[in-house]
Amino acid sequence: MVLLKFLIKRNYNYLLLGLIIVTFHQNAFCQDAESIFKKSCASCHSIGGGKLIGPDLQGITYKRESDWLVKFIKNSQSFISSGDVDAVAIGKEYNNSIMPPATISDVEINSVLAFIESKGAAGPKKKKVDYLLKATDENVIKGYRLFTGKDQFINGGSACIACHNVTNVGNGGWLAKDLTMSYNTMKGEGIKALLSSPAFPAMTNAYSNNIMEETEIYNLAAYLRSTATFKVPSNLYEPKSYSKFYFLGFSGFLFLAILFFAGWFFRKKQSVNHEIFKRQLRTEKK
Amino acid sequence: MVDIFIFMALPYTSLLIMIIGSIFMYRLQAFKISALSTQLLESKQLYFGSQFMHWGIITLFFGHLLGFLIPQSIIVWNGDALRLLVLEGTALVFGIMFFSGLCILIYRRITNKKLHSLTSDMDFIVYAVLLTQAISGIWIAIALPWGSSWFASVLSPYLKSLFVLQPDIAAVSAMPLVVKIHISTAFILIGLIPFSRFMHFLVFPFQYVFRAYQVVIWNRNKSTIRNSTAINPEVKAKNN
Repeated sequence: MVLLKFLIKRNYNYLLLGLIIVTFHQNAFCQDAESIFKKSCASCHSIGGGKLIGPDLQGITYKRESDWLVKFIKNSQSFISSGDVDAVAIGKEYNNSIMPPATISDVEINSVLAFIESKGAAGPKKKKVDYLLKATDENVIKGYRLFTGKDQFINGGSACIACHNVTNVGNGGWLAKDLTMSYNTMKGEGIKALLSSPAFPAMTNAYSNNIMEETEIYNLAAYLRSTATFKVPSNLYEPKSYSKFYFLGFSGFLFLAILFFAGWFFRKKQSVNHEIFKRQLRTEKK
Repeated sequence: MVDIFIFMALPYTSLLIMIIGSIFMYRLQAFKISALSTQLLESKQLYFGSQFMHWGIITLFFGHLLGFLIPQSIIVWNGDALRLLVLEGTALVFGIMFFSGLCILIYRRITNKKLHSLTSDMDFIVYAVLLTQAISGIWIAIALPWGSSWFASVLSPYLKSLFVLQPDIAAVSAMPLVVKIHISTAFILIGLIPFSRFMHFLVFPFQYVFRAYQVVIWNRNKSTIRNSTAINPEVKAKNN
């Protein structure tokens, strides 16, 4: 307040304006860092909530140098392959799960690190309750139906089968990772975090306007646990149907090809006076 | 950086070239534009090649367009395994049809010497682009199922972002190489429209499907042809 009065008294308007901008910018910056964390990091990491797909980040800035963190966040894969001992060890600890390269700027990365630092140093580890503790076969079946598209997501997202496969499903997609054993690396909490705010660009596009409901996420996590622990109910096993797809494609083509050949046979191929001309030639040959 | 060029710069450049180039060609070169029909020189191979290729590409074009315009309906349709198989199978049918028709046309263009006088270098560029499209498309259909679903949910938002001038290339940049090739050649194809046979897109030849036989008037001496002695010299026809 003393500073404010001093600035007004001395008519340092520009300085005052600058101070206001900086103050508001600081607030905006704080909100921004939090929303960036929620959008880009929260699907795999928590701050004080325990390990998800990646490590709990509480106190990470006390543990590692900021330069090291920025390098890892920008492109963890190339950092690991550069041979950095700590980076390689972390990669191994998390089964070499790929952390997508950051799509945010250095300034934004630093702001997120500042946001993490504002949450304090790492405290004692809390005992975690299994997310899927109460999951039943009913949840597994519902998850299976959502995964295969037999039931629609409430908010209209695409079925998982469009891009992913699991072993018991007849016609899983091959664009993205096979999820049969995904539970082993992600666990229930990891799956929940990933599906709540997908960080992978293709999934972000597919679900940013069609966010999954909590019950749907729970059922999908239950289903993925059953595939990884080989406890899928026997009635959910489907025969593979890729061969039907190839058969349909090639036999359909053959059918149309025959139609076009018939079209050629019945097509009027010569001019109207062709027959007269031909008759003349026949006469000559006699 | 390459992704920014292919998925951000290339689509807008191609579209601009297509629009400005087409206007330029119509305004200044109208009578020089021709798809240079070769039907009178060779018609059998053309029939099979052209029919296969055109039915294939037209169906696939509208299939892709539907995926872009009504992605939610495609996702709902694909919810049932049988319906998904029917849609993907149909796309594969027309993909193979497009590819085989194109192969016939390229074979015809190279082996039939009569056609060489009506062939330009641009035709071979067009064939290269179309062939890349066909091979990458069939590859995607077989190796990365189910394209109809992930196109609707992942790539359709990217195309929409282009049209609202806020390109979001994060998802498309993460796609496998073959998908990137398929998309980038499609953009190149748009840019080639004003300078190649593709120009005939813009005249919508719908009537070709239903039109009556065309009267072709030959500009040559009919009496010489009617006289069979021209074919069998020294021998006179006996029936007229």
